[in-house]
Amino acid sequence: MLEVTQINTFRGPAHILHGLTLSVNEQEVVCLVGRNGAGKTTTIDSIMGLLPLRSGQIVFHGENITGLAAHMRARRGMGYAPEDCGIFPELTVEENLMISRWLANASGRVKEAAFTGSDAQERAFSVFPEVRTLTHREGLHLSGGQKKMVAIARAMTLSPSLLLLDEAFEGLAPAVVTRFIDAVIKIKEMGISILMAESNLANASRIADRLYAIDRGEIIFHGDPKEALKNEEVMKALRG
Amino acid sequence: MHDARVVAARILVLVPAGAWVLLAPAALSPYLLIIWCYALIFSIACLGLNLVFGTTGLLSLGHAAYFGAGAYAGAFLYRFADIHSFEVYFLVGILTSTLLAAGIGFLCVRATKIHFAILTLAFGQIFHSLFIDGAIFRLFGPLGWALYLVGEGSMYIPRLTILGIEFEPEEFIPAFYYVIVFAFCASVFLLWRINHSPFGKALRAIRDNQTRAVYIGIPVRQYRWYAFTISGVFLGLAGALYGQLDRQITPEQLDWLFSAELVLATVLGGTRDFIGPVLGAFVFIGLDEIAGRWAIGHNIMMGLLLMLVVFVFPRGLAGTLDLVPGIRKVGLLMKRKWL
Repeated sequence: MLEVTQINTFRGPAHILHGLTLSVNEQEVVCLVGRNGAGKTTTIDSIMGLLPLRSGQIVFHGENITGLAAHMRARRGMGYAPEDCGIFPELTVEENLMISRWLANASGRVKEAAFTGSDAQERAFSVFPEVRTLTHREGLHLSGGQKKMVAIARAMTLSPSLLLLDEAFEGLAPAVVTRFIDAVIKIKEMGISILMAESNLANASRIADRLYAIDRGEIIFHGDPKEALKNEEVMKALRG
Repeated sequence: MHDARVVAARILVLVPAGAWVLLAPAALSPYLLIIWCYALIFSIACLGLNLVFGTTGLLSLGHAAYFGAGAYAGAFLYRFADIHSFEVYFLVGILTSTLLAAGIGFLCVRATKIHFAILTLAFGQIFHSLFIDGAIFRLFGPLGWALYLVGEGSMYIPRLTILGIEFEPEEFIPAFYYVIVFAFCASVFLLWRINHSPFGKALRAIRDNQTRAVYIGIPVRQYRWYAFTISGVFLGLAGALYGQLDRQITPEQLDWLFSAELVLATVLGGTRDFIGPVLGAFVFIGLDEIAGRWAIGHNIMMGLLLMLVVFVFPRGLAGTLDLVPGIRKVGLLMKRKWL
């Protein structure tokens, strides 16, 4: 579904990603694990089109989207819940969702998926029923965990086939992390693939079908999460 | 079904407002009725500007161009096509300002923040200079050039027929007042719908954070352009009404100082509240009228009055009124979803 091949990305003068390659298959949860500053967010931003590639290629559903604008990628079925959640503070939760629902209907993606933007929203509510009770609250007045739920629900309302989640568990209490892990599994069962950037290997191994470890902008490990836990090089890189 | 409080709030606000609107020609002196009409027209222009400014977060210093275009287009039409219908004058004015806004907006929305403001100012001043220097008038041949030399860029607009009726001079303003009221109500309704539609929410999302807007699939530049063009529609509408009310249009209405007045009135009322620009426009026209009593120190007096209003209402008129519990409650009930 997603093929990222040999991408090089810069942030200003700094060369962050060095020929990074990864892939995500249909209905698969893939985790990109690395410590802070390893290049996880840069990878996600590059895939989403928020950062330009210096070289390399990104193919999504067989289409080369390397030069495609970020909003077009979203309309082609890439949902993104960033680390800071990206909730619009002056809009209510309902309005945050309304924009995605409307864009989903306008993009025609929902026709392919044979459901409407409202159906997509209902699917999001089935994953996070708590969001339904927050619809009249402004984004500004949400807690950290609520913001993360709304961010994922909003991304799901776009009716994506791939969800990019950046540090979805960061700052959450352990009990809430379990709640989010259940949610991710539920999303996967809906047929949505997930690429997660995560700094905690233990959390990532609970959820991932496959795992990539990243350090200094390069993939240093790719394979089964359990293998990663046994790999000394990976553990050393993650501990810093 | 609405609860009784919502219905009561709407009756409390809309019935007196409706009664006042209908009875104003009888209640006000002819002079005050004209001032009241100016305030309504200025409100439409401020509401239109606020779609770009308050809702989308782009400060335009060139919206006077679309206001002026709305009146000039009809004035040229009357002069060179001898058309006396207000409806044709009005539609041509709106169409011209819309096309102008679409063209200039297409280029301006490529920039943001201060660069956007500078671009709009530059385009606005180029458009203004085309009238001040007479370049536009030259396009209409010797007669056009003669018009420029006689009026120094100003153009006369006669009393036009409204729905085919030719009104006597003393009947015209009261009759035209209802046209302005209709245009005002239609503008408020349409802009309210736009502001509360998903498109309007998307514009607010763009204002709050452009990057976030992009990754949820909003085509930011395209939507900015749409907002700019729609804004031009309402500025043209206001300009066309102004031209007919004033019976003339001058390059002064194209100048950036007029754009600044629109921005000032909008900020005065409050850019984050839908009704803010309307309050701002009315207060601005009112203050201008008060300051106008001092023939020599008019601008000084206007400046002092504006300072006073800004100090007393630091959150904008709408924002400060929103702090008054009774008004806030009525406002919230009014905002509940209609139908």
